[in-house]
Amino acid sequence: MINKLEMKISAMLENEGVVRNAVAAFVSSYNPTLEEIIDIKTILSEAVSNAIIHGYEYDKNKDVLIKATIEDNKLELIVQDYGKGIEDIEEALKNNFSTQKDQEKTGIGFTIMKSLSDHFEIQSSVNVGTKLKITKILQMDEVRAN
Amino acid sequence: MAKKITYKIVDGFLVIKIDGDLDNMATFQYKTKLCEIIKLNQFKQVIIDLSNVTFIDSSGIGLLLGRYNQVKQYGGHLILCGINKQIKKTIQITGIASIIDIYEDGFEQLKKSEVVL
Repeated sequence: MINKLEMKISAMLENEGVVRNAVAAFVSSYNPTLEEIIDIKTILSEAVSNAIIHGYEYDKNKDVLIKATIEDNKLELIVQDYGKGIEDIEEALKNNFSTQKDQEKTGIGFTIMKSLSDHFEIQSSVNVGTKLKITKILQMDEVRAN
Repeated sequence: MAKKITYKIVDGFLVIKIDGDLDNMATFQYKTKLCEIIKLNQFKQVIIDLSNVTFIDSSGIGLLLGRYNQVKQYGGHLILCGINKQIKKTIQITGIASIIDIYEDGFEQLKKSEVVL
């Protein structure tokens, strides 16, 4: 059976925690491990902040869409914005953390999302927006899985 | 857990303790205060204890990396301690463990062990 959760939030960093906790609560009834819950929260934090900071450049009047779907033990997350899009996805996927003075943008959000998920996909067009599709396979309790 | 930063000076070490989630909101709120604490004291040994940090993302990693650079700039040494399993996982993904010394024990345990301090 498919179970779904959909949310639309204003592009405000204050809402990042709301999304993390709402999706964690949605997933928790499927008996994920604590590690899986933390992974999901981390993925969402990166995806939502990417939309707010890079997609919309902190424009609070814009919306970010979040969809979570669970079927059997497969969780699919979609985080979508209609912002400025990513010009060079390959470049954005590079791990660019820096030890230079005053440089605190680590540029590792995508690396984290990729590492913590089982499948990670970016669809993006300049001035159209970005859609992140992330799949995470949960190690569910067999009783619940059936 | 409530978000807050506290600091104390112990045997010549500046020990900063962070509580709560280290996400974008917290990073935004903490950055100035952390910079000021470090700038004001300029201790050679700075320890950031993350024992009470419940969540970290790339913005939190960026905040820690920024403080590493700040301390390094005046010739100091920054250590991260109290790293739980989840935080360690994120830190390892980002690769910053290759430049910043990290310890699982919190400051009190580290002090007792005298391995580092």
